[in-house]
Amino acid sequence: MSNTQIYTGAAAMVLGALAMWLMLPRGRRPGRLLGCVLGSASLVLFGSLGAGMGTLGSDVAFASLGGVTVISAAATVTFRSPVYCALWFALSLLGTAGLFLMQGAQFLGVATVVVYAGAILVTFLFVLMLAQPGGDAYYGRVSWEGILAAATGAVIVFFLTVLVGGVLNPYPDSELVAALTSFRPEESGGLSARHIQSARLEPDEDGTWRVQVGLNAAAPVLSPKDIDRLRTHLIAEVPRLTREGVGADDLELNIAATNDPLLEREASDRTKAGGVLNEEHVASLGAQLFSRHLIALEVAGTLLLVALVGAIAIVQHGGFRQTTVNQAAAGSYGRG
Amino acid sequence: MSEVAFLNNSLLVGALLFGIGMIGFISRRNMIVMFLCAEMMLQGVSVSLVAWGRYHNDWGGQALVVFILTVAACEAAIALALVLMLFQRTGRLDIAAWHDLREENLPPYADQEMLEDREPAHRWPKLTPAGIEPLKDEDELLHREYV
Repeated sequence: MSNTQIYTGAAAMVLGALAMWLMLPRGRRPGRLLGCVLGSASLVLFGSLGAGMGTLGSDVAFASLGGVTVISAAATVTFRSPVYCALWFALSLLGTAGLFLMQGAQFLGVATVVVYAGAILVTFLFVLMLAQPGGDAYYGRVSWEGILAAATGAVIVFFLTVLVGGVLNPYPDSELVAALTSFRPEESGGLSARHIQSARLEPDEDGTWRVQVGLNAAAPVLSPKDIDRLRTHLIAEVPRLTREGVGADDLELNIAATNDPLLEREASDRTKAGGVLNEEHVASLGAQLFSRHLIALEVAGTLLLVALVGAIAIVQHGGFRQTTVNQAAAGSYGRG
Repeated sequence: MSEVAFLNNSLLVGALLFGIGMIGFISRRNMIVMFLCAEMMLQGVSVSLVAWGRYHNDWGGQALVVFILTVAACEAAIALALVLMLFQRTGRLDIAAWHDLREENLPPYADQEMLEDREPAHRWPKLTPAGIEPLKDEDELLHREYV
């Protein structure tokens, strides 16, 4: 992750935190509109942090699904009336379900809509209507430490994104990639952009420069002679190296098959039988759940039953205790 | 489609969902909205898990999300029962009503002077009288309501 991306992320975070603070309900103080404007700016900066996924269609689909999800999540947090909050949350769930479908998790996409948006959210709405028949309450119009909460959230998201971007590094150095792909070796085939998984160029403290190139399994193997030629080629072709006047001895060249074996997985692995994107997706997920995760699944089922019994017990005893205030004052809570 | 880029973008969305949910959980006072925000944090984690599962070509991520879904359902059932019980005791969904549960050395929560944005009372539209005034019914004029 280059410095530009870190600065973009930091700017997006600061704008986003300000926007969340302005939009949170704070009594009379104005600024919701300004908050919306800042929030959209922050979202645009975030969009620029996203890496291109190859095809325009997938980029547009992902951007719209992610945008719907995040915008309606922000609306869930900032609307005053809890009913509107719940409805915006439903929209956010639909966006998430769309993301699941796009990631190839068909069962989870449908289950999210059915279980979350269909069952859990409707229960929330039921409780809201039982508890707040009169509509808005004053405590919906104020919030706790809005600025501190927004700052905390922004810091956490910033570190999550910076760490993720730094580890994954989906943005190969474009100058370096251009120089690598224009190189024509004598003893093997040339490199093309699809062979290059990662490409980094970093200056070292002692004046040397380090080039790290990760190639996937399909890339040709370069002979030692070709690597020497590649060194001079890079010094001539990468503007930064030419500008600094780096000699061939000062350039440390690391060209390796990527050391992360998982990176080498071909896309076709995922669509083979047993892969996460195979044709019988739901059947495979069921087979996984009922073989490898069988005991966990049984425990989860038991947990559901226990939660059901517990919820009924809580409601019954709670209602009874309220009528016996004297008992409660005498300290016999929990005896029912 | 570049898998690394897809993973990166999904993790971005997941982190944002988690962060927004956390902001809401800390700052909102309505208990039901707080639980909605907690569910939103779970959603952020689920998006990240599914993305990692796809990237590593492993079913573990999706299996874990199935369990998250189950636990979220349990959590919602118990949380809503608790919320209803708490509501029956105080008559409001305000989490500040439970500041008695604070630690001993902390001062009690005092509601600051809330600059409340009171909605103006509804002013219903009035129709101006128009047309011919109908003749008054004599019976109605003579009729006294409370005899």
